[in-house]
Formats: sequence, structure tokens, C-alpha cells
Amino acid sequence: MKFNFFEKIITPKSPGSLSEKEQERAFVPEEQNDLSVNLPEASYVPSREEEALLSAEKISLRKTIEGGTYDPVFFQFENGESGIFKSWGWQKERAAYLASRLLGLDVVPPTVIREVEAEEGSLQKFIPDASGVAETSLSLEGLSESQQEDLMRIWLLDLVIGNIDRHDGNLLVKGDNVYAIDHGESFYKSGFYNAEEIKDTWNSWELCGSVKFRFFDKKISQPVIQKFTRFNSSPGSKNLLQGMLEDLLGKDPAASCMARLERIGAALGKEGMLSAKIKKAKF
Amino acid sequence: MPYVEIYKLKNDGSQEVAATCRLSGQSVVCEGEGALISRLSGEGIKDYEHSEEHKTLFLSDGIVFLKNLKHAFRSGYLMASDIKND
Repeated sequence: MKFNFFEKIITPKSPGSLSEKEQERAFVPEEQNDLSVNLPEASYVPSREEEALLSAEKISLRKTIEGGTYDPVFFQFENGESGIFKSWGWQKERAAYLASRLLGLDVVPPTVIREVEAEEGSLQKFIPDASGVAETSLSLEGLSESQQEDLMRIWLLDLVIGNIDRHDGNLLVKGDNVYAIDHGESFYKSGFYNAEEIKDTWNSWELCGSVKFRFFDKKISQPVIQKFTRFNSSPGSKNLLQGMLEDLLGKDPAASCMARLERIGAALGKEGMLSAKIKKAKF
Repeated sequence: MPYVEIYKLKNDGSQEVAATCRLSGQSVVCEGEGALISRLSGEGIKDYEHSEEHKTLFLSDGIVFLKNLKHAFRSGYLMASDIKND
């Protein structure tokens, strides 16, 4: 029997009761009730932001975004939504969003898969008035508490999804919030590598996540530790994420991601931090 | 002379030039938004075309730096052009 996992843990709120942060970011799930954590199956319920992106029909503005290594497109729709559409690497964009949302990290802008102008790809909600971190003088010392929390969550997400290309060019900052974008270099098949296997270092821990904003041997916030612990103790959650990742990326990348997630969750649960020693983990 | 433009995406989907990086002799000179230029100058970018070497490229790497800018800036919000010529 399918249990609609997220209906239990996501209670619709009226827009007026959401903080500005919640309204702009992926909807933050309510606390889980204990009944849900042991169920083997769960089904995914899109957030309101995802529904808005999926249902946006009439295009009011279309602009190809020049530059880079492919041609994303900026769309504005008559329902007020705007987003960036990618017809290349879109599976990884959606997968990164799902990992971010289902883990409760909520650092990737809402991203759906859909057709636009008869082409299939990912449509990611546009964050207006955001700056790339590369355009700012943001440094570890100058971060607000909220920004530091977001960067920590992004770093953890990058370790889970094996993102080997996080830098200031794919971090957005808007006010007190930091967002993670561009996950085209994530979800490789391998797990961790020890020193002997470091030849293929694209997949080593050293290269996952931002070089500048990393949090080895630093206390991770309690809410984040609880999210990982709760997720890893829920067969329904794990099966759901793994199934969705397999559909997008195939079995091996999904399995590697789940194995990293398990390892990170165990370390956080035990020590409250990730030691740099985890870089030598092998599985 | 070869040069690359870095574009910033605006709320209406249009792009404006945030920085221009130009080959000057063997090195690169960048002009534009202060913080972006400082980051490029001080921190460099990854060498995507020789990824197995895990190098960081700086302005002094000249044309190789210019070639890799489009890999570093491809998120949509900040995008680097292909190499152009005056």
C-alpha cells in the first residue's frame, strides 16, 4: 500500500503564514510524525513551487542565455513564474534538487522536469535580484549565521551527490540566503577513494564541494544532524530518493549517492561533525 | 586581440557585461565589476580542459585562462562567452 509520505509531513500553509524565506525557497516540511518513518514505501508530492513551474503554460518572454558551454533559456510565463531551462544535463539538476529537498537541506531552487516548446529538460525557478558569490566579496569571516548555515548545507549536499565542481560561479546569494545552482558535475558512479585509488581523483572527497567554504572537523548544526538521522532511519524516505535517482541517473550513480548519504549520516549521528578522515573511507 | 566577456543575467532575462577579460601579451587583464575582478585575479579558476591535473588557472596563464572561463561561468546567472577577437 502506498503511503503518501509527504502529505503527512507537509501540511499546506496559507501563503500569509510563510516567512519570506520559506515562500522563496522550497517548502520546508513539517516535523515527521513517528508513523511515517518505518513505512517501506512513500510517494513524492511536488511542492507548490514545483506545481507552479509544471503548470506554467503561456510563455510571455523567452531569451536564450548567451555564453557558457551550452544554451540555457530564460522563460517568463503568464502565471508569473520565471525559470531557467536546460535541455542538457537536466537529469542531474533535477536529482540535485530532489536530494536537497528530501534531505530537508533546501538549498537548491525548485527544479522540475518538463517540456517547454516541445523540448524536454529541467526548469529551475529563477531567483531574482540574486548575485553570484563571485560578484561579491563574501568570505568565510564575513558570513551571517544564516549564510554560514546555508553554505554548510550546500557543502553537505555536495558531498552526498559527489559534486566536484562547486565554486563561487555556481553559488547565488540574496540577502541572508545562499543557493546552490549548476550541478552538471555531480553524481558520478564512484564513492570515496582512499589514497591508493586517488588517481581518478575527480571522485575523491578532496574535490567535492567548495574548496573555500568547507566544514570538515566543524560542528554541524543540530537541525541538520537530525535531518540526516531521520532520513537514514526511514526506509520509505531512502527508497523514495533512491528510486527517483535511479530513474534519472541509473542504478550505479544512485547507489553511490545513497552509500555516501549513509556514511555521512552515520558520522554526523556519532560525532556531530565530519572528520577529514572520512576522505579515506572506502566502500 | 582575444577577449572573453562575462555576462550577468538580469531579472528580465537580458544580460549585461559584468567583466571583460582580454589577452595582453602572455597574460590576461580583466576589467569590470570590482569584486568579480578581484575574485578572478586572486582565486583563479579551475582548468576544466585538463581536469585530471586539478590545476588552478590565473591571469598569468593567458589564453588557457580565457579558454576555461566559459566552463567556470555557465550557470545561467553568470555566463562567459567563447573567445572573441577584436
